[in-house]
Amino acid sequence: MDYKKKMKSNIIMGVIYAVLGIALTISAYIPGAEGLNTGYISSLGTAFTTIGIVFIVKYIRILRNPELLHKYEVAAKDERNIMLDSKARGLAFAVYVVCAAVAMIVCSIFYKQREAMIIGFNMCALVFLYWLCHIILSKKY
Amino acid sequence: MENRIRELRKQNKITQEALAEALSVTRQTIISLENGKYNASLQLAHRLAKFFSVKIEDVFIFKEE
Repeated sequence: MDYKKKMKSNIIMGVIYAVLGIALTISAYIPGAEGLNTGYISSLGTAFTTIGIVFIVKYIRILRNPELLHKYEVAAKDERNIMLDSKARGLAFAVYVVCAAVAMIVCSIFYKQREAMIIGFNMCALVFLYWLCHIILSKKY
Repeated sequence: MENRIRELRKQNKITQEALAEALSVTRQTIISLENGKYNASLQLAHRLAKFFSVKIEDVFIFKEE
């Protein structure tokens, strides 16, 4: 039942994405929007609309088929899948930090100080966020 | 941690698919458990023991390293 609610909230999210996408696409063609990057806005709108439609179609299809709903529920609640998800996130974080550090060093060597600073700030923000999440979670568990 | 899941499953003539269905996990989880690639949580260990009507220590063999 709980998972059904989640599916329904995903459909609502899909509707929100689609409406937002349509609104963005329309806003790109409103007179007075010439000063903005209208090409980007309409592309963003199209992307949101597509994601919204995919969400709606996918989750309605799952909700209408009890067998498929059960299959998705088992896969979503499977503890090994949850562990894999958590490990993959951890690994992706570690790989990203190492790659960013290497990129920052390379940029600095080639006098690309601005790029090095952007990458450095980005990496620091991510590490800070990790540290903050760790503190919050350690209080919870 | 070693386990006797495969042995118990074969004794009870149950397929991996049926065991996975009964425990609400994916078949891949059962495969990983049987191959010793994944250690079950306490909840799953409890459900496994209950399913086979045995004690948890009869399913899992804890070896101190």
